[in-house]
Amino acid sequence: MDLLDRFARGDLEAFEILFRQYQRDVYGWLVRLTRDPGAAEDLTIEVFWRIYRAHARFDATRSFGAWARRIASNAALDHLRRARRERPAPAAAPARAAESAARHDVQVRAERAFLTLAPKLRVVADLAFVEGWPQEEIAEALGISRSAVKARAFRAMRQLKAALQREGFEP
Amino acid sequence: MTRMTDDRARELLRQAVPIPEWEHDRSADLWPRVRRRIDEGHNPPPAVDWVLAMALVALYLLQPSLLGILLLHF
Repeated sequence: MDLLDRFARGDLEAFEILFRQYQRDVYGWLVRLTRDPGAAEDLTIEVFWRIYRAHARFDATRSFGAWARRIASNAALDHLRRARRERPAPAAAPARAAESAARHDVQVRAERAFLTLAPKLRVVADLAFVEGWPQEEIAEALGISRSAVKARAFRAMRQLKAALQREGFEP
Repeated sequence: MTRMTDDRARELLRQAVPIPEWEHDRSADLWPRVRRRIDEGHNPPPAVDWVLAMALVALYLLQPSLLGILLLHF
């Protein structure tokens, strides 16, 4: 019986092998989505626990990596929603040397605008606008349709521009 | 009023949210923590659940009609 079949039947040894194969990918993906290496480590534990709990639902003919990534995406979104409720927006720039303070101020205000987006829009904006991922890859990674990615990217851009202008950025 | 262009918004976003650089510590073995989490999930129900279950059994034995009312809530 192959590894994925054994995992689907709840074999813990098979799961440990899969964990060691995919831990790094899942962790890297969580860092990308949360931008917080510490939180990503805790979420990696949470994700693999969710994966093990759902072993009976895993279709051994499909890709384990893609399935793990979708579960990780959901866990990251849960984390971002919690963090959004708990964490205050970044404060204004403290006094620094003039040029550096001005640059820092731009970053803080732009980040504050970014953080006004709902987590599901923020994740798409991050992958599409910052990292330049194609829509097909975003759809695959998040487990949503390409048209949903397109719609979210559109809404994210519209809301981001409005938030940037509210932060005082010139068009 | 002039509207902000997509390119300008992207440029500002890239300044504020740079692509994260990360190096996963290869020596960090997270497996023991995952294993512990799985084992915790297999723990028997806590004592308070047993006490509650026993209280329900006692209630059924003493006042069967009250239990019927309670079950209506499920």
